[in-house]
Amino acid sequence: MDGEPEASQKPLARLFAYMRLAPGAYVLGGVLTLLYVAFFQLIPIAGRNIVAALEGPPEQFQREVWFLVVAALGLAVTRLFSRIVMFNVGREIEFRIRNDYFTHLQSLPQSFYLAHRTGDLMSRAVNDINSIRLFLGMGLLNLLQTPVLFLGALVVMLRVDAVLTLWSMASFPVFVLVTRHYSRFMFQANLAGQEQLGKVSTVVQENASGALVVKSYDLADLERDRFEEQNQELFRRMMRVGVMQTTMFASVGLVPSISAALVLWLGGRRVQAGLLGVEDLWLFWGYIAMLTFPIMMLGFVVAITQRGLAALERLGSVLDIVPSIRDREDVAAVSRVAGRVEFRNLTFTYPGSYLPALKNIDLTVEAGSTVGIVGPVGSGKTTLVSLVPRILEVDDGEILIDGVDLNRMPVQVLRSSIAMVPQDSFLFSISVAENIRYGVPDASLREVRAAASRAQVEREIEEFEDGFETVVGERGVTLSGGQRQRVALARAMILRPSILILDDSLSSVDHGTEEAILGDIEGKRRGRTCFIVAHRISAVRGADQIVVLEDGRITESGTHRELVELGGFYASLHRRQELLSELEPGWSVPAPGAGRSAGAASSVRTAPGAGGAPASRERRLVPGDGGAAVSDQRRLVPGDGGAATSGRRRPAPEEPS
Amino acid sequence: MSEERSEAVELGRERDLGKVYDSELIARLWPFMRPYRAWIGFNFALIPARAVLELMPALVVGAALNYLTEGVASSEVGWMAPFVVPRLGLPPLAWMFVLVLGISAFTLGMDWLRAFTMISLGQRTVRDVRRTLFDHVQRLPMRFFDRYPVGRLVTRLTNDLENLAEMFSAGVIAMVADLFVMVVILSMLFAIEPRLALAALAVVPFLAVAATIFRYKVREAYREVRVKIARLNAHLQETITGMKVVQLFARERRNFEEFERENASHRDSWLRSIRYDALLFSTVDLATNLTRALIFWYGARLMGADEITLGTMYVFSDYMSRFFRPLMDLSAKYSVMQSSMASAERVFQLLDEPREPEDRAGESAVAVASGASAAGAEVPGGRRSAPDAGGDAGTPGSAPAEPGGCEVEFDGVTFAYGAETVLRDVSFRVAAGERVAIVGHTGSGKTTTLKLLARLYELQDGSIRVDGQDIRDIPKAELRRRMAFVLQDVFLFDGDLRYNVALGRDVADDVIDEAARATHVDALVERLPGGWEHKVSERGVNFSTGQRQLLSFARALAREPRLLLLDEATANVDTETEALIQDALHSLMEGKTSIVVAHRLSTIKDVDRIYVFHHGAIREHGTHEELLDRRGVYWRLYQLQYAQQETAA
Repeated sequence: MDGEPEASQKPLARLFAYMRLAPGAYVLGGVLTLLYVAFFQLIPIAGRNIVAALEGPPEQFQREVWFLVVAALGLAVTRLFSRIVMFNVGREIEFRIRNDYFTHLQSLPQSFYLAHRTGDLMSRAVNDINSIRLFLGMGLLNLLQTPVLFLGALVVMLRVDAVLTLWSMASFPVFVLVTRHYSRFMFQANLAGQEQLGKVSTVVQENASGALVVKSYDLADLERDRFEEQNQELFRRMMRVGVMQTTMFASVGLVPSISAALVLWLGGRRVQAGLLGVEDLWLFWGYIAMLTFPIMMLGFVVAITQRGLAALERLGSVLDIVPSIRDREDVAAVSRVAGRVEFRNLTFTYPGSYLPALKNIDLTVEAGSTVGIVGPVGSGKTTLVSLVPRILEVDDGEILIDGVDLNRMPVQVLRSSIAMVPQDSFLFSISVAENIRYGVPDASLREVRAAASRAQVEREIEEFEDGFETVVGERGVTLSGGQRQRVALARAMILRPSILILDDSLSSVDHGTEEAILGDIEGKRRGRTCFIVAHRISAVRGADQIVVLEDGRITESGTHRELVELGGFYASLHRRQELLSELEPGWSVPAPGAGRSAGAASSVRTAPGAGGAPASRERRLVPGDGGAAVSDQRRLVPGDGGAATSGRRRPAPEEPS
Repeated sequence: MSEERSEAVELGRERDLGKVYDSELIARLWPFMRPYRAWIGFNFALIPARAVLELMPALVVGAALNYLTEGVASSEVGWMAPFVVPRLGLPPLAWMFVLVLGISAFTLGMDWLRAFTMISLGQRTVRDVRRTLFDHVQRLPMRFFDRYPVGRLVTRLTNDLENLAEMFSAGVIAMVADLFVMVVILSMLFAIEPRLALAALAVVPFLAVAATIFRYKVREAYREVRVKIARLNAHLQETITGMKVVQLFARERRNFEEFERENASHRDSWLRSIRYDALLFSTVDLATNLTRALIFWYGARLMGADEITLGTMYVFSDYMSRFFRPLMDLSAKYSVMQSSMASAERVFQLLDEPREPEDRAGESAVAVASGASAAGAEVPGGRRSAPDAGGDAGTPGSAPAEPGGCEVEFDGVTFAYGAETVLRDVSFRVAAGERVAIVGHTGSGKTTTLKLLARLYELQDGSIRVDGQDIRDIPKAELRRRMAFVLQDVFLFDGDLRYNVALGRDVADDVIDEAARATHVDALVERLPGGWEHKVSERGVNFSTGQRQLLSFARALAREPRLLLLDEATANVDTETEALIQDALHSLMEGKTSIVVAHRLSTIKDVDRIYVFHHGAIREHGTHEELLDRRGVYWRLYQLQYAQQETAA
């Protein structure tokens, strides 16, 4: 359901596609690198010439020293700029890859997120992009530069003394093979270490999540032994990585020493034989010293390249998924949504699931009407309303908005016409104000406040230290469940949608506040279609139609009165909630006159125009909902967005525009 | 999800990492390093030897050059002279080849040893810290686990400790060794030829200034990179987590713009770090080559005056390039130290979290059987001032194991989670062998009652007695050994089935089998491949809710408790499993004191007495029939929660 992967671009092709974006940088980098290589060759030559000129005329000697100085300056400058250019373009590509990844993730449907864990997606962004970065910087530079460097040096040395060159350079290719070999082992050992680190994490995680069991069953000692076992294994594996690393450095470190010593011995004998000058030995030592590091790197670079390309391929497997929800060729020319929603024999199955979550749903919601949706947990309520803003894929012809097939609606128009308050009331770790104006980033603070006030959360926000500028989450305040729901509600209310969807959005809000909110929505909603998913009868009883979902099917539908009379699921839910309201005085409205049953009280609520105002004046004592008391006081404050004090049917002032 | 988020946010918060070396932290770390101090000593002892060895091959080469130019293998340094005299009957050049290779190999061997001991030291120390830290975490009170995100705890015990290990392999001692080599080089250069040494050092002041500036800039830029990448990843993570909201509110474009801005700023920090890094490297390169030119230029004069040899010039240029080398990776080591210190600080912060109260010394001997209620009344609201209060200190090892079960008494118990009072003045008594049900609306304090009895939290007021003894006077392990706590959410461990039932205790096979039989787990075990050895994967996702409940019953029975604390799960299971559970529950409660937070009608009908909790207080109590007759809270609760079960049954 993620869409068909396009003919998978090979990682190299993808890489070239990115590199083509900056051809100039690569040409410049190439030229600079070649210049660097040229100056590089000059340094040992300059050293040799100076030594040769020691016995010669002073002017000659002076000239050779100046030659070294110039070569050194040239080397420094070309090294500086070749690195800057090559590495910069690598960072630029990394920047683009990351942007592309982000954009792409935003375009993928919810079904993708059901199938992929956040951790995996993050690991692509963190580990894979890291590998790609290493490859694009260090890897690419060395891959291009080192062979030329080596060949150039080889040419110079061969011209001086072929035999000595052979002896002193013979070990270098072996060197590359050895480091490559080693780095593969090290990579594996590292992986084994990381894996063990994962096991240690598991034990820690179990002991933290299962602290209650560990303590009450007195498992501490046992778990400590179990942990120690993993800890020891981690120690062993980490030691292995360390030992391999040190062994590698020690053994490859010997290679240049062997070369240099060979030059001393064999070269020395050739000097004695008059085949070479002493200065030629300097030349060889110079090259050996300068080539050691790049050659040693080459082995690593091969490994880095392999890993970088593998990472690019993994990243590519996400980037290649064609977003299944996007404007199609036959997109309808629609610029606004009136709000008529029609489900036609809709059957929906989540990708990877066998059983449909929704079966043969037929439902028409007229523009401007309200539909209440109730049903047991897992009956498909959330799925049903999630299909409307098209964050999941449906087949053609199953959902129509204003008579137009959902799949032909322009995504942007559709989503900006719909405001949904999802169940989990997810807030971002930005300020409360920023969260509320999430859908209309240009909204003024006045509008933000108005929305908060209508969601019955303004007063509480003002009580935070930084008011509306308070940052939500770990870095700032932790909101209670009820507060989060109401901020999420405000976030939806600040929009002026044609369709408003509340997905069990008032479950952590106390009854009185719920009533005030619903009253406001109802007041505002003329001309607005409302979907209200709820567990409480009180949230849906005023709806134009109510449907009961059970096991993915609509089993009951009608008005509150009709459904109560029907005597099915809805009626039994209704009965139980009335009993509950007797048990929890704060749950429902204490009628002005004592002795009135809760059932009567709640029917007062439904009667249009009846005085529901004193609703929930009584404070709810159930712990975990501190919001109730505060909102009670607030609703008595005048000028706090009329909705709070008004009854449910009383028209509230139009939202600020 | 929220844990992952908070981890990312925490990373995003990582700003100035501050210190490279914090003596206070090192002092706290020292007890962990102490057992391996011989290794540290060994490492330090090797530093001088290693420095001298590193510098010897150049002297040999110098001597060889002198031999080639002047026919005499003279060394620049007096004490080297005996070494360069050919031995083993080898010609001079062959001997020097052997010498250079031998010394290099020996030096590398030493390097290996040094690196090995440092890595061992680091890994051993970290292993020991990890062990201590885990042990500490296990002793932290439940309240800690209620608020500390699991993900963060995992990071402390894994990544932070790995960072700490880095400090040993790439940190302090390596820096000291580098510094030492530099000092030895300087002194040798001055010993050989002070004038040439001065000439060779001419570039150093300029380099020092440039290197300091660039290194500082690299460090700054690099720190910026780290902070920004953390922020960038936090943003990405939050977007992935909240993708539904992003899409619902059509925020993609704006969100991308923000991300791109952060991404660009991250890239720019990189570019800065690249620039200064390249500058640093090129400058060191340049300095090395210019110094070489200086040595030649001035050395040629001295050589003309026959004051030095060609060998001297070789030695000088070799040493000077070694002198500059540590400058290159100093900034890398610096960042390693910085992040190690930051990690160490976080680890020690966790180690500073206050533990659960320790068991009082000798308290198990102080059994207070008869005077318990009196003792509790003596100091209401607080712990008794002395463990032997009550005057019954003379009955060691009392609280005899009554075969029927424990006696439990709550006496004026008041408890709050933070500001939120959950239990108010709760008192009740359960005689040995009695079965009691606790019922009430959500949030009425039922589960808390059980948790307090297992002493998972400390009381604010009142006391709880088991077998007449205040639970604060019973060692926690002993208290918990008497009971089996069956939680609503069954937590299965990563291990096989047997492990999950026996929970590691040395339980006889027949006890396990009996427990399995009584709880219908035996049928389950038979059906699964591998039987008792069947692996529980990822906390038991391969088991249904009902199966998990039965497993938790078996787990409780295998413990052979005298007191059963059961928090019945509300989750719905199929009719067949429900029948099995009800039957298993009955066996579970048999022959022991049982306190059950009940959701099943069958359970509440099976008990001797019911306590009705309402808003943290006991409102009614009695048998099922008595309470129904009263038509109070229980009656309504019954209509709400249980009556349906009645009709269903």
